[in-house]
Amino acid sequence: MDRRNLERIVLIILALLNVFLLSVVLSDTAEARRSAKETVASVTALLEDSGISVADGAITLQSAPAPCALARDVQRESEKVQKLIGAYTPEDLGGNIILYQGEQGKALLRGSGELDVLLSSSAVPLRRGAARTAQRALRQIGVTALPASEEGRNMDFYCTLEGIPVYNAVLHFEFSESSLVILTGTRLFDSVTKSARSTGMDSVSALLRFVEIVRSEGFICSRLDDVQPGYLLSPTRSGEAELIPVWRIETDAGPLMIDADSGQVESRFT
Amino acid sequence: MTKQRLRDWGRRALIVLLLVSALLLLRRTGYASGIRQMLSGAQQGSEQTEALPGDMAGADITVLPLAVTVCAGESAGRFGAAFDETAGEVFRRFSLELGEALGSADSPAPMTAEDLHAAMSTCGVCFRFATPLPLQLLAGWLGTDMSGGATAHSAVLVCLSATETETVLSYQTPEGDTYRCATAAKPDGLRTKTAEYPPNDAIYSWESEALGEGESLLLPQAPVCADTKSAVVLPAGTERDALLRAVGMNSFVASSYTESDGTVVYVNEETTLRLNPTGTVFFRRAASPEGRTEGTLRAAVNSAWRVAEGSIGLYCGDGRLYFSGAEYNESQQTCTVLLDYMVRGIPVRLADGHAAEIVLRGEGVIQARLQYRQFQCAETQTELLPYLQAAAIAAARGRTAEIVCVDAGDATQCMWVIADG
Repeated sequence: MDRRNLERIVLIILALLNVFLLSVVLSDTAEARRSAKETVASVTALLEDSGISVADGAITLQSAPAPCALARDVQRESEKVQKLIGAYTPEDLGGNIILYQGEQGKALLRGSGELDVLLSSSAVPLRRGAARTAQRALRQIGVTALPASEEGRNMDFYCTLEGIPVYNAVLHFEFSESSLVILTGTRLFDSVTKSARSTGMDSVSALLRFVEIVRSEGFICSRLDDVQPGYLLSPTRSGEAELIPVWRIETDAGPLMIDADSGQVESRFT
Repeated sequence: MTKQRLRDWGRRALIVLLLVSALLLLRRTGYASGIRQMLSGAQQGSEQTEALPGDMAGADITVLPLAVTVCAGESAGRFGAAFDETAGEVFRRFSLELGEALGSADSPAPMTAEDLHAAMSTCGVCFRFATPLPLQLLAGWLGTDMSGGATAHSAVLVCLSATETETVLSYQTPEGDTYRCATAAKPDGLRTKTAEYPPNDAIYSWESEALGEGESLLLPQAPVCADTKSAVVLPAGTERDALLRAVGMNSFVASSYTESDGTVVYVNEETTLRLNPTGTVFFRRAASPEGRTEGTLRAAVNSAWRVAEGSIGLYCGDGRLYFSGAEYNESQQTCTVLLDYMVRGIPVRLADGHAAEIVLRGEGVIQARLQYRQFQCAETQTELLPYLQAAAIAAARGRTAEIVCVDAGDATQCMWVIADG
């Protein structure tokens, strides 16, 4: 058989294989969508039976994020600090507490992740509003964050890891009339090691657990607004921390955090 | 010819494209992982969790706080826990604040006992340990380094108290001296965490109308201890390889023989390991291990801990090891590290010595005595004499009372004992 005929046969086989695999993928996708829709409908019905109405689009099938370990990297930390306060002189106060005295302010960073930064008026001038200035400052220091709350010229942001908010790693920005003056809160350490896969419950299991909590632990609410994956920062020892996967369930009675591994209500870190 | 060649190249390009597409589609389906599992021969349903850097099973050295108190403020009452696992949980909860305070502690200033009692009654947390802890070691285990004058001190009681502007570290040495250090630790975290512990009427004996003095913690409810069995469990067969590895011997190279009393002896050059049927293991190395004669106290303790965790720590059941002391011998340049067992927050007292007595030169083990015990807690519990009565009996003798778990070979019994101090 000559090579061209062989290639034609291989081509036909590969084409048929592709058609077969494509049909399997499309069928699986349709099945997964149908199954997800049914699951969401079942969970919605269960919640409504428990007296809790569900906002449109509140429930989607999602996996819990994978747990992570964080470790402090003083080198990277000092580079970020330099971008805010300029050239600095570090002072080790002991206990993993470092004070950076810079040209444009000073920053105190602790092994627990907490930081206190005081800036001069020239460090981060106010431009196009407080929100944009805060976002600019975050980009400047290589921190990703989502807006949490805003009150006058004060703003809070949740630090994020790959787009997932860490609900107790909050950075607080305070502005004067012309510039960013104070930055405080808790940051995430720079060295991140993520577990290969998530072992926590998915969003549906979290909601089933939520129903159990409502029924047996006396949490009272009448409407479920949203279910989102997130993390809680848990320092293990100075300079080290873990990110615990949680589900944040927004209700009309306030948010509820459920540990994605244990199913326990997390109240300590909020 | 040119057209033909173009068709040939086009056909080959299409083959490559279809191949890549097939592989991508195969990955989207479940077939790829199934094939991978088949090829790797992985067992069905087996789960493999990846250890994260913070997941250091066995690497963290355990200390035993016998009693802890948490106070949210001067008139807020006190939460107390003693001789149970809650004390250890509270210690872990405040370990960050304690590490920060130890690492940033200023030069220690002497204080009176009354000042210490005042510090123990303000917003903060106090720990009383089973054995004196070198503060330098404690700071290291909590992730920080100490550099002040307190580095040279050991403490049986450590107290963190939050003022308006700072966290103050106070401690009492085994000799009874008390010191106070200013620290750079923030008081906010301490204040927030202390509010998590509602008071449970815990008081110290110096606050008690009946006693009026002494450092014992008095809780309103009588202590309750789980009934515990103990047994000698020696590693057998291939499990002994872990023991030999833990002390740095090679099971393939070492020769072994059994003595008339059943003691199994492993010998390799100048290193000997003896496993006695009573559960006691003796290890001796005649010469110092090469290249590991220099070291710090912390490194020596870490080495000893790894040896113990890799041997007796694997078989202690419901028991756990804890650090109970370290001594440096200047003349011989050796460090002796002592470790003991605890069961649910209660120290175990063996009939003969400690769970592990390990002598090191630098980080190398030159001698070790390990006692294998396995503990099993039953569902039943035993109630002991109330705290106040026990403290009163001890105070009449000028001493304090402690709960220990006395190991009698095949069973243990928890009881109050009169301790020094």
